[in-house]
This record gives sequence, C-alpha cells and structure tokens, in this order.
Amino acid sequence: MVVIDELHEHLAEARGGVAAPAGAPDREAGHRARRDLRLQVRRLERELADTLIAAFPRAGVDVAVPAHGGPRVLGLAELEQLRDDLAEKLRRARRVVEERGEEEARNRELLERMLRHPERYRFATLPNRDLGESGCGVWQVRPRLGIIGMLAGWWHVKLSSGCPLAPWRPLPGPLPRSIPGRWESAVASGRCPTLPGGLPWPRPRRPNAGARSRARRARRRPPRRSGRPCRSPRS
Amino acid sequence: MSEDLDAEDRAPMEGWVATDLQDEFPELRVLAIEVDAPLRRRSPPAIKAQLRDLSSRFHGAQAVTMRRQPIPHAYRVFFRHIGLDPDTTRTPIEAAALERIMRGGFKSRGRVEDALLLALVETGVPVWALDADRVAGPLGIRAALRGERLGEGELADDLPPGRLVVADADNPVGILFGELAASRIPTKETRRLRIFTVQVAGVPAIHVEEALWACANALADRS
Repeated sequence: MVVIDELHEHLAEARGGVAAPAGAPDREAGHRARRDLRLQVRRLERELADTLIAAFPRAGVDVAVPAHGGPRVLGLAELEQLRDDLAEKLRRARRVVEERGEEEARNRELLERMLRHPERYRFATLPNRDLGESGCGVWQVRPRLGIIGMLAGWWHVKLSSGCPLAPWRPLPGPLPRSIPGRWESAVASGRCPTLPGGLPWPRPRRPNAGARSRARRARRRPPRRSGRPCRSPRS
Repeated sequence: MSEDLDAEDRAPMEGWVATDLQDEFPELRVLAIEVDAPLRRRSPPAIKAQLRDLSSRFHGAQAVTMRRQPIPHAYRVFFRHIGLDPDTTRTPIEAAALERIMRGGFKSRGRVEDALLLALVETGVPVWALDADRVAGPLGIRAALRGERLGEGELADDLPPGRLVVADADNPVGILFGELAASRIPTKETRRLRIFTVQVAGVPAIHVEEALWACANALADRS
C-alpha cells in the first residue's frame, strides 16, 4: 500500500514536471516521464504477480488489467491510464487477499475450537479451502458410532478426503440414440447432461452395440474339430 | 557435428531497431541466426523424448509462479509496455505453459515447431523461424507505416499505422510477438531457416543466445 502511495506522489510530481507552464512538454521531458511510468508499470506488475501467487490456490483474485489494440508505443496518457489501472487492481487484489486472510485466520481458530470441544459444534463442517489450503478435504464434527454417539454425547472431528464425484442429474428427456449425429446436436443444444466442466457425458452405447463386431469375430474363429473336446476330461 | 561447430563459430546476427523505438526501449534487440532447414519434417525420437521430459518437468503450479521468474516477468512487463495484456495475449512461454496444462504435455507438431518450442521452454526466450530465402537483409523492429500490409496477395492483412512489426529491408514479416506473414514462414521447399528472437529489458543476453543455439542444435540433430 505504501508503494502505491509513493507511486501516486511520483505521478503527481511527474504530472507537474510534464505539464510545464509553457504548454506542451518538450521531447526530453516526455521521454523521461514515459520512462518513469514504465518503471512504475514494471514495479506494479511485479507486485501484482506477487499478490496473485500469495493468494494461490485461492481462486477469485482478479488481477487482469485489460488492454486494447495491438503492440504499439504507448503515449503518456495511455501509460498513465495503464499505471492507474494496475495500481487500482493491485489495491483491490490486496484487499481481497487481506480479507480472505482474516477470514481464514478466523476459520483456523474455529477449527482449533472444534478440535478442543467437538460437542459444542455438532455437525459443523469446515472445508479446507476456507482455511486457505488446497484439496477437497472437509473437517466435520460427527458422532462416534452414529446414533449411539449422538445419544451418549461422543463427538469427534473427522477430515474427509478426496474430491466429491460429479453430481448426477436426471436426463431432461429421451435421448436420440438411433440417428447418427443426433447426440452431438443434443449436446450442442444442451438437451443432454454435462459434466461440471461443460463436457458432455460419454455417448451412450446402443443396446446392441458391438453385435456386428462380435458376429465378425465369430465368423473369423476357426471351427472346432468335431468329436474332440477342447480340454481333456479329468478322470 | 562439423555443421554444429560451424554454426557455433558464428555469432548471432544483430538486427536493427528503429531510432524512435530505440529511444523508448533502449534494451530492445533482435538477434538471428541462419541454419539449414531439416531434411525431414517430422521430429526424430530424441526430440520427442526431450519434449516428453520437459512435459514431465512442468507442473501446473509452475504456470502460476512463472510470472515471477525473471525472464517470463520481463516479457510480461514488455507486453504491458507495448499495450498488450499478457493475460489475454499470452507471452510465448506462458502460452506454452497453458498448452502443456490443457493438452497434458508438449505435443510434437513438426521438426521446426518442436525445435522452437524446446528453445522456448528451456530458456523462456521466444524464438521464431522464417524462410531465409524470403527475407531480405537483416531483421529489425519498427512501427508499421500507413498502407503497409502483412503478407502478400489477397490474404494479406492491413496493418494499422504504428503497429510494431518485425520487418526485413522491404516489408513487415510479422507482428511483434504476433503472427508471422504466411508468405515468410518455412514450407517444404525451405532450404535455409532464419531463426530470430527478440530481447527485451531484463533478459540477459546469454539466455537469448542460448535460445538461438538450443533451437539450432535441435534442428541440426540428425539422430
């Protein structure tokens, strides 16, 4: 945050220097101002990267600063705009990281309390990601031995492991299976279920799928010799 | 082997940078070397094995932390300086990292493409290849002039004035960190390749030369 303040002060100085009373800045002053702004952009980009990495693996820390147009030499105004955008994005990203850090600290304290006195936090759940950790684990306060533990007041904290499976969703309607290409069109029109990533479920197999290839294999198979068993019978 | 030694005896050719650009970006440089085009278009098993090794050395977390490493960071900053958003128009090394994650590995796409990719992933410095016979004189960087086009014929794209381009003595051969003119990229008939790279502030010269020689070695490897 101090750096941003410094940058704002520096900007004010730079603006003062560029906006000379004579009017338009001369070439040397403009060049110097652009160089200073590029240095600031470099520093802000570094700090933005540091903030993003500090927030990893948490999602949702927005560090994107969109740009328009192709590669070109940016003028003073464009560089100022870019620097301001980066500074603003950095400020917001840091605030998000800070707020999440506080929330995670609170959650860690809660977890400690859950571990110490599980009977006070019955059926409480706390995902690992709310603690700032990676993975899909969830801390849960559960009764020992099911209903017996509930009645007897035997509570403990368990950490589930593994990511949950994709939820099953009912089919919105009958799927066209007979006509080739209809499955793809059904996927495209959203009439078939999709996985969380937007990928379609695997194409369903026809009831008699593989019958033709089985028949082909059967035709290729050499005929058994008649009158002789495949295996010698054990006596 | 003698071919390699001959190649290593030669220093990279220093390109030119337009004066106004040089004032703005004093450390911007273009370096190039010329090598024989590979006889076969497919990569030999050794190159494919090298790509597999690189794939296994590369993980998702690295793609995130990459932006803090000196060379990728230098290219990110330069992208910002020239008005590109590196999160939209990816820097070459970040684009390669993203592709590695999306595809599950670095896929072989041809001898020249693989050599360029190897050099990029090993050094972090992007390299491009052009058909040397279709490039006139040394390469350089300048702003596009009014009415200039990228490529030849009906499919050539108009370039807005001021767009930074890599150019030879006559015409632009590609947009800086963007697409190359279709008429200059290597084809089956290419006999010589011009491999070039762009050095920006914060990238040590040794890495840039290393990228060029890594690419040249991958192309010269006849195994």
